[in-house]
Amino acid sequence: MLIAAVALLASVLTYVEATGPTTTAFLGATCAWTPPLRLFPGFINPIFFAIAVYVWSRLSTTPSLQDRMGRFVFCSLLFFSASNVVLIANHFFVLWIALEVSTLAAAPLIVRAETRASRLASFRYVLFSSVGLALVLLGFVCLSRSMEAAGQPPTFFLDRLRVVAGATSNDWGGALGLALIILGLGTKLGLAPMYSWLPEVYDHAPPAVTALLGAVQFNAALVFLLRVVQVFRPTHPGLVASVLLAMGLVSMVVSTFSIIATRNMVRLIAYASINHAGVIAIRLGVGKSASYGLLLYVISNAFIKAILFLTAGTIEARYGTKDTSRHRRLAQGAALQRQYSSWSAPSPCSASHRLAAFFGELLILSALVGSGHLFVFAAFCLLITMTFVATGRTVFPMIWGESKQRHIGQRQTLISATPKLFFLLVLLVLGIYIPRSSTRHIQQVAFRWRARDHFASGTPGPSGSATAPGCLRLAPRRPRSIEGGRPAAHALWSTRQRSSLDHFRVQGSNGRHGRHAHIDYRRGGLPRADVEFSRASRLRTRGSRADRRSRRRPSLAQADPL
Amino acid sequence: MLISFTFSDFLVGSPGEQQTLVAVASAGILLGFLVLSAQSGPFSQMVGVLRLENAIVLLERGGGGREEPLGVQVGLAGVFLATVAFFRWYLSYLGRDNPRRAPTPRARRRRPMRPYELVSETALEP
Repeated sequence: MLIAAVALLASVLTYVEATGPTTTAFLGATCAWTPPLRLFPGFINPIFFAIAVYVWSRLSTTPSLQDRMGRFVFCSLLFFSASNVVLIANHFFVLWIALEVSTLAAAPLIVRAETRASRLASFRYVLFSSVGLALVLLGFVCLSRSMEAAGQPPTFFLDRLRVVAGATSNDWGGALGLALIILGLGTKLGLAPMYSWLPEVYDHAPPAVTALLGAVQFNAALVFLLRVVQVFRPTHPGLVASVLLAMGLVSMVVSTFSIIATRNMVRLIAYASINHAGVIAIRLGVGKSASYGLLLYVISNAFIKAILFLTAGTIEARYGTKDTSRHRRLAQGAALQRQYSSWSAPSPCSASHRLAAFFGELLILSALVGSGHLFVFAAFCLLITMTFVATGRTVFPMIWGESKQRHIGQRQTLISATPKLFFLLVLLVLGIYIPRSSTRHIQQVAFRWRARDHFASGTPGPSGSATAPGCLRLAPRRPRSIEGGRPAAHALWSTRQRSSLDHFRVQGSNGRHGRHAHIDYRRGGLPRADVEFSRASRLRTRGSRADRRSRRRPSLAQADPL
Repeated sequence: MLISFTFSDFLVGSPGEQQTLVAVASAGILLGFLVLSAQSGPFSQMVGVLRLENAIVLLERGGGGREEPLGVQVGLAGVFLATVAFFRWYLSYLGRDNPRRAPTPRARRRRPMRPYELVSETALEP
């Protein structure tokens, strides 16, 4: 109850604070509550709350679990606090410390009573995490040396680092440091080559802890990676792209063949998590720090992972095995009514819950084509198809096949099923109709992340050109729907880039909505409008003119020290 | 060692205390990775991680007088101490119930056959 109350309070505070437009710095500016970062606590804290409710319901039905609850409560609250600090930190060392603390807090949670395999899994988790975070620390040391060599005072405050990061661009020490940081954070995300801890840990940890690791800590590590990429992509674009693309593709290959080979239900989901991490790495490698599609994919996958791991734990408790060949007819009889509806729901066959992730993948594919990475696009499509077929080959018989195993455990109660139903509801909302406020919030976050990319690189922002150190100022005029003229405009842009013109403007109109569109292109910069805004433009065209005017995004011209 | 000292030459340039410090720290990092990759036991791997972390701290301390905020320094030290405490906890857990290593069936097959068994030494004496 204590964990649930704290998580609920944090969720409410997150939503209350989300309405404030300003940036709040505290603890000596090592932490800052900035508008772009409010998205992640907005879905991580509710997930934590739902998992706490699940644990509470399990305790009410299984009194024997109460002996270990003191340690569980302490470690969970520490994990929760550290994960939230990761999301709001403004200093790379604070980020590092918070991520390490969350790792150390999660390690005792992995251990199941009197199970040697879970102890070994917990040890491997701490070992791999320590090595990965040691690599990150080593990368920071290399970057610090590189800044010193360039005559810049080394700093790891994010707002100051953006100004001096350019000093590391011509130094091999900076490149080495950045590669080590990405490799170390890839270890925490479960990316190849150091991914082998993830299936073992997810397999042996209790279901609630696995859901915490997959949905909460994964996103905390992802925020760390996003911030690193956001700062250093403008100074090392080739290095960031090549390292992330290589890690993402290898992760997808490894996870695809592992999904084909495994017959363990939890490991199957764990390998799917590696696959998701690979998709995210590829999107980060080819594009900007964040985009609407990427954020949508990340949010939906957090909920999908939470629901899948909790449901896998329920199935294991019910049947006493994780072997997928022993689970059959999960979609029939009483099982369908309450117990396994959440397992069958996110399976590939019921695509409504996967729509948000599917839509995110489509946007990622369009970004791959748009950036000219056709080989990566082809490999991505092939691997995703293989993963889909392999998952379906395992999951479909589980849902409809002949039953071989008799159940040995109790049926879950309605309270323990409630968190999964909540996740299911969120996935339905994300897949069928995203509330306008949520869409606007995600777009604003993506917009701000992208704008910071432009600011750090010294190029004009996505909707303006006025940028100053320490104060990101965007012009109030924003691009409108450009779908009609975009392909021709991009082709013209690439032509003009070759002909060394500095600045030109493309004008056209979108015939469907009769809107006049204009796109500004500058040499060395990015166009004012991009594909991520096409969905927003479509949404804005619905309703009356007054509605459209009132639904326009608010001005993003506030001063933002980050 | 050769790689470490070459790396130090390349990184620092002028010979002196800094160069030696960087060389020792780099050697520690490489040896830590060597231990991690070559050893499979929990204790040896813990030694490898601690060796790696010590070398990184040494490399970081050898920098040009950069100072982080006090809270950050305390946090870093606390995390290192907590990591050591965790390793101690794992060692007690994993070492306590470590089952006696029984010969695998393959090793059992490889054991040379003994046609005569020694029952007891006293029985052989007249």
